[in-house]
Amino acid sequence: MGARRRVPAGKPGGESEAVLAARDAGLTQKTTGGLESLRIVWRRLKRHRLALSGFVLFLVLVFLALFAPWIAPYPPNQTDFPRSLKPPCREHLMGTDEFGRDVLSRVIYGARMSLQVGVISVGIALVLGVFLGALSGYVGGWVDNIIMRLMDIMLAFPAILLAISIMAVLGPGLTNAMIAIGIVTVPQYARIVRGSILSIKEHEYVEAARAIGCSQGKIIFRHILPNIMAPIIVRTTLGTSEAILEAAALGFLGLGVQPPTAEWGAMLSRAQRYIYTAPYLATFPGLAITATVLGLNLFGDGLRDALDPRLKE
Amino acid sequence: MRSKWLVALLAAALVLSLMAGCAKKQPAEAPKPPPEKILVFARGSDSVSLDPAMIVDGESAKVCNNIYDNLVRYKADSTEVEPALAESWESPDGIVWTFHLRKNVKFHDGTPFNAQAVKFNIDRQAPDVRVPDMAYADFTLGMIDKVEVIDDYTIRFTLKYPYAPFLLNLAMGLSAPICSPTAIQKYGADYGMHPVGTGPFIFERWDKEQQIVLKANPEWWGGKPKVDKLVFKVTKENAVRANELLAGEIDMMDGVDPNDVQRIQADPNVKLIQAPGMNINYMGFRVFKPPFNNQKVRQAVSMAIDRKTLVEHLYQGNSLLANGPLPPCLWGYVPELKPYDYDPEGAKALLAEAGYPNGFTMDLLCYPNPRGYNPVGGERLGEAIQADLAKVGIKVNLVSKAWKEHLAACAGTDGHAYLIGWMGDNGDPDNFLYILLHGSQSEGMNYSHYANPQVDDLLTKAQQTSNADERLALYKQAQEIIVRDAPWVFISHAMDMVAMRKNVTGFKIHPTSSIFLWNVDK
Amino acid sequence: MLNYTIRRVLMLVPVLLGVSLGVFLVGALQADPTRIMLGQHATAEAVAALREELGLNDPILVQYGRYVLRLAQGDLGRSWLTHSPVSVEIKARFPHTVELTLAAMALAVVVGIVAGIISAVRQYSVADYTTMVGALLGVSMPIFWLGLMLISVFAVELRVLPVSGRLAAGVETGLRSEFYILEALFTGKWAVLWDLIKHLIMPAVALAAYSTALIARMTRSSMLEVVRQDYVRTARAKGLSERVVIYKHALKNALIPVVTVIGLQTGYLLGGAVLTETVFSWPGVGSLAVAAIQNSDYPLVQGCVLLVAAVFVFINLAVDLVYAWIDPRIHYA
Repeated sequence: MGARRRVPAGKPGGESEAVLAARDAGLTQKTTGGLESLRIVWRRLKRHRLALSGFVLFLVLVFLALFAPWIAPYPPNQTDFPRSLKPPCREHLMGTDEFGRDVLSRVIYGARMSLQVGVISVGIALVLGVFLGALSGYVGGWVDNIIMRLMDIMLAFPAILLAISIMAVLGPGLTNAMIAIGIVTVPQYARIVRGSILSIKEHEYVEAARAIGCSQGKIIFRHILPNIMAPIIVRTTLGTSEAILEAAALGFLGLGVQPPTAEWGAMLSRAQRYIYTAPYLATFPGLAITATVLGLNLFGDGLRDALDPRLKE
Repeated sequence: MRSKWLVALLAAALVLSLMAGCAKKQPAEAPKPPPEKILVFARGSDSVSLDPAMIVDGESAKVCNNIYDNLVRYKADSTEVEPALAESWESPDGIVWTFHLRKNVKFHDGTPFNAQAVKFNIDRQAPDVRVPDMAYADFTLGMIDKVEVIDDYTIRFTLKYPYAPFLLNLAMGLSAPICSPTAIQKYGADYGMHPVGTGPFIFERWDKEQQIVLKANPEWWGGKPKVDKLVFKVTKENAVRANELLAGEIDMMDGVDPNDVQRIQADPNVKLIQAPGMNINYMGFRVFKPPFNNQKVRQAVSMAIDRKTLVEHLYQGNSLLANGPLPPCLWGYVPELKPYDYDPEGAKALLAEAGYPNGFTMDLLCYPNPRGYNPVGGERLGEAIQADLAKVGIKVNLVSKAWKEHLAACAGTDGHAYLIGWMGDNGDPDNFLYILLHGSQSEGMNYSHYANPQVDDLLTKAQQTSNADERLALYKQAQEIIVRDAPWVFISHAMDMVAMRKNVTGFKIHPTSSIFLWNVDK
Repeated sequence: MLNYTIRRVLMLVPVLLGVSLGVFLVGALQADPTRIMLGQHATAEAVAALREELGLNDPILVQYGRYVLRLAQGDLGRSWLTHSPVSVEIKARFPHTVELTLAAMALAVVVGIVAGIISAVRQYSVADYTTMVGALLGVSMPIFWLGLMLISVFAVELRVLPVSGRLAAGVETGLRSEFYILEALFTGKWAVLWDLIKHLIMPAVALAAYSTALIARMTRSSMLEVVRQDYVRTARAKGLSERVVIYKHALKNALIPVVTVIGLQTGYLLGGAVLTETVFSWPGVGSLAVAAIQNSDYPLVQGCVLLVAAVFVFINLAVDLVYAWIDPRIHYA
C-alpha cells in the first residue's frame, strides 16, 4: 500500500519513481513565488474536473464524519439481535450485521475513524518527517548521514510489514495504529523536504538572508519552508489516502480499533464469516474505503498537476 | 523488434493451448488400477505439534488421536474406559496400579512396544526432566510417584495419593499417548514433526498450514482402518470450509459455524451430526478486587446479561443455556440449579444497593478466535455482553489479546472480568470443578481466585472418595454454593457439530470432542 | 559504473545491520516473553531460570550482539508455538510466496504495459478512458476487499474458481518441492498444474491490481512524454511509419522509468502478499507472519520480517543497478 512512492534504499535524495517523483521535486524549484501563487493553482485546479470531483468526494466524507450523529439513522453500536443479518431493506439501507446493528450507520461512523487515522497519522509523519528532513538537508554532514541511513533502514521494509511489526511491539489499538502508520511514512516526507532544501539552500535569497544575519531557525521557517510547501501538500494529500488504506489493512488483520467501534477494515474482516450468507456485509465498507481513497487520489493527482509549473496553462 | 514480439506472442499462445489441451486430456488417462479411499477432514487451523507431550490444543490432539494409542481408551460413545495398549489392569487401593500390556504390538517405525517404552514416555515427562512446554504433564500424570517395569509386558504405577480419575487421565489425548522411544531419541526437539505411534494411522507428510496426510496402518491391533488415507486439511474460514463440504471437495469438517447450520442442513448430500459438548463457556469475575469482591455486584452483572438471547441469536440455538459450571452431558450435572435470571431492573437495584447507582467502568479480557466452547469467538461474545451491560450503566472496555497472551493475562491480575471456557478432558466433574473453582488453584486455572472454604472442602473430599453416589452428593452441594456465590456468569455449552457428505459412515461424536476416524468409511 | 556498484553494495551493510536491529527490537521490546513461552502456570523460579537461559538479564546491546552472531550462522531461533526451527518453517512457506509474487508481477507487467501503450497510442479514446478509470480504481481499492469481492463473485456466485488454498485437498500430487507450479510445469503434471492455476488466479489478480494500475499509468504518461520529444519527431519527419516510430523508437525509451517502477513494485507485492495470503489462506510467508503475530510467536515474526526485508533490500539494489545500467543519461559520481 504505502510502497507506492517509495524510493530505493541507499540513494540519498534520489527519486526513483522517475516521472512522478521528478515532478514532485520539480515543483520546488519553479514555484519560488511560494504561497502567493495559490491563486494560480486554484484557477488551474478549478478546471481540473476530476480533481474537483475527488475533492468533493473527500468533502462528503468529512461531512459524514463530522455530522455522523445527526446523519446516521441509528446509533452505531445499538444491538438488536432479533433483527440480525437482515439484507438491505427500507429500514436498513445497507442491511444489519450479526448483532442487528445498522450497517449504514456503522459505515457513516467508520468515516470518523478513517478520517481520524488519516489526519493524525499523516500529522505525525509530517511533523517528524519535515523536522528530520529539514535538519538533514540544512545541517548536512554526519547529521544528514545518520538521519538518511535511518530512513534507508525504514524503507527496507515493505510499508505494511513495517506497520505490522510496530503493531506487534505496541500492541493492537487505534492509537498504536496511528503511531505505526505515522512512523512508517516518515521517510517519504523527510526525503522530499531534504531534497527540496538542498536545492533551495544555495538560492540567492537564502544566501541573502544568511548574509544579513538571520538566525538558522528563521531562515528555515521564514524562507525555506514556504518554498517547499507545494510538494509537501501533494504528498500530504496522497499520504492521507495511503494512511487510510493502511489503517483499513491493520483493521482487517485485527490490529486496529477494538470492538465495538465501527471501522471499515475491521467490518470487512468480520464480513468474511458471512461471505456466503450475507455478502452485502463485505460490499459496503469496501466501497466506502475505495470511494474515500479514490477521492483523495484524484484530488492529489490534480493538485500535483496544478502545482506543476511545467504544464501549460 | 516487431518480429520478435510476434514470435513471443506465438510462443505464448502455443504454450497456453498446449496446457489447455493437456488439462482436458488428463481425465482420459487418469484411471489408475487401485482406487485409494482418501478421507479428507477439514478444520479451522493447523496442528501445532504432533508430540502429544507438548501439545495443549485440540487441533494437534485431533491428529494425534489417530496416530497414537494409550494404555486405555474411551469407549466409542462415552468416557468409560476400555483396554487399548493395556489388556487388563488392577488396583487394590487406588494407589498402586498394575497394567498388563498387549503383546506383539509394534510402533510404526518397527520398534517393539513394551513396558520399557511406557516407562520411557512417563519418565520423559517427570517433574525433574520435563521441558516447560510439557504443559499437561503435571495435570495428567502429576499424581504418579514412580513407574516400575515388572517384566516386558507388565508395568506398575505408584501414585502419591489415591486418585479416583486416574484411568480416565491415562485415556486422555494430551500427554498420555505412547510414542516410539526410538523416534523421540532420533528426532529430539523435532519429534513433533515426525510422530511415530502404534495407532491406526501412520504419519506420512505435513504441508504446513495446508494438510497433514496419514495412511492406514494395516497391522494395527484394532484391525486395519476403513480408509486408506486420511487427510487433515486446513481451511481457516468457517464459511469457506462449509462451502467446500457442500461442493464435495472435502468429506468431513468440524468447527461448524452456527451461521452455516441452515445452509448445511438444507443440502441433501450432506449431513450434520450434533451432540451436546462437554464444555462450558463463561465469564469469570476477579473476585479478589473491587467491584467484583462484592457478591451483589456479581449477582447484578449476572442478572444484566441476557444469556438466553445470546444462546438464541449469537449461537443461533447451537449451544445450550448453562445453569452452572457443568454441562448436561457430564456425570454430576444438576438439572435443578437456578442461576440468576435475566432482570435488568433488578440488576440496577442491586447495583444501587451495592453502592454503584450510576454503574461503573470495567475491563473485560477477551480473545479474538473461536474456541470449541465458543464458536463465534470471544470478541463477539464480549461485544454482546458489552451491549447488555451498557443498558444497566456499566461501561465495558474490551481488552482483546491473542490466545496465548490472553491466557497469560487471565493468569495475572489485570482486568475485572475475563471471558474463557473449558472443554472437559476426561468426563469427570473433578476435571471442571476442582481445577477451575478450588481455592488452591488460584495459581492455576482458577483465574477468578474464587475461594470458598466450604466448596474447597467438598471438592477435595469428592476427589478422594471412590464411591460414586457419595461423590455425586458432594458435587451437587458444591455446585449449589458456587451458583449462589456467582464467581462466573455461566453462559453456554456449545454443541459439538461435525458435518460430512452423505456417504461417510461410521462416525460418532465423542463426548470429549476427540475425533476418532478408524471406523469411518466412505 | 563499477564505482557506483561498489558504493551501492557497501551501503547495504549499514542498512542490513539496521534492519536486523529493528527486527531484534520487535522481539526484545516485548514486556515478558517468558510468560508466553512458559504458559500461564509458570512458577516464578521457572520464569527466572528461563530469563537467565535466554540471556534476558544481559544489557540489550549484548543481547543484540548475540542475536547478530546467531543470524550470521543462519540460526533464526525456534518458534515458541511449534518448537521447530524458524528457518524450517520459513523454508516450507517462502516458495509459496515467491510463486504468488512472481505470478502477480508477470500479470502486472504484461497487462500494465500493454494497457499503458494502448492508452497512450490512442489517447482520449474509449480504450484510454477505460484503462485510466480502471487504473484509478486499481490504486484506490484495498487488496483485501478486492480479494473478498473476487471470492464472492467467482467462487460463491459463479462457482468457477476455488475459494482459497493452494491445491485441492487429497490430490496426490507427487510434488517434491514447495515450488508447486514450477515443478508441475517442468515435470509435466498437467492436471495438477491446472488445479494449481485455478487456485492461483484470484490471489494473483488481487495482488497484481495495484501494480498493474500503476504500471499502466506510468507507461502511458512516459509514452506520451517521449512521443513529444525531438528524436521521435525526427523519426516521424524521416517518414517512418507510425508503428515503427512508436514501437522501435518511443517504446524503448519510454520503458526506462517503467523498469524502475516494476522493480519497486516487487517490494510492494511482498508487502501486499501479507494481506492477499490472509484473504485467500495462501500458505506463504505473509500469512505465516500474520498468524505468528496473532499467536505472539515472536521468533517467527522476526524471521518472516527479516526475510522479507532482506529480499526487499536486494531487489532494490538490483533495481538501482539495472536502472543505472540501462539509462545512460544518469551518471553517478
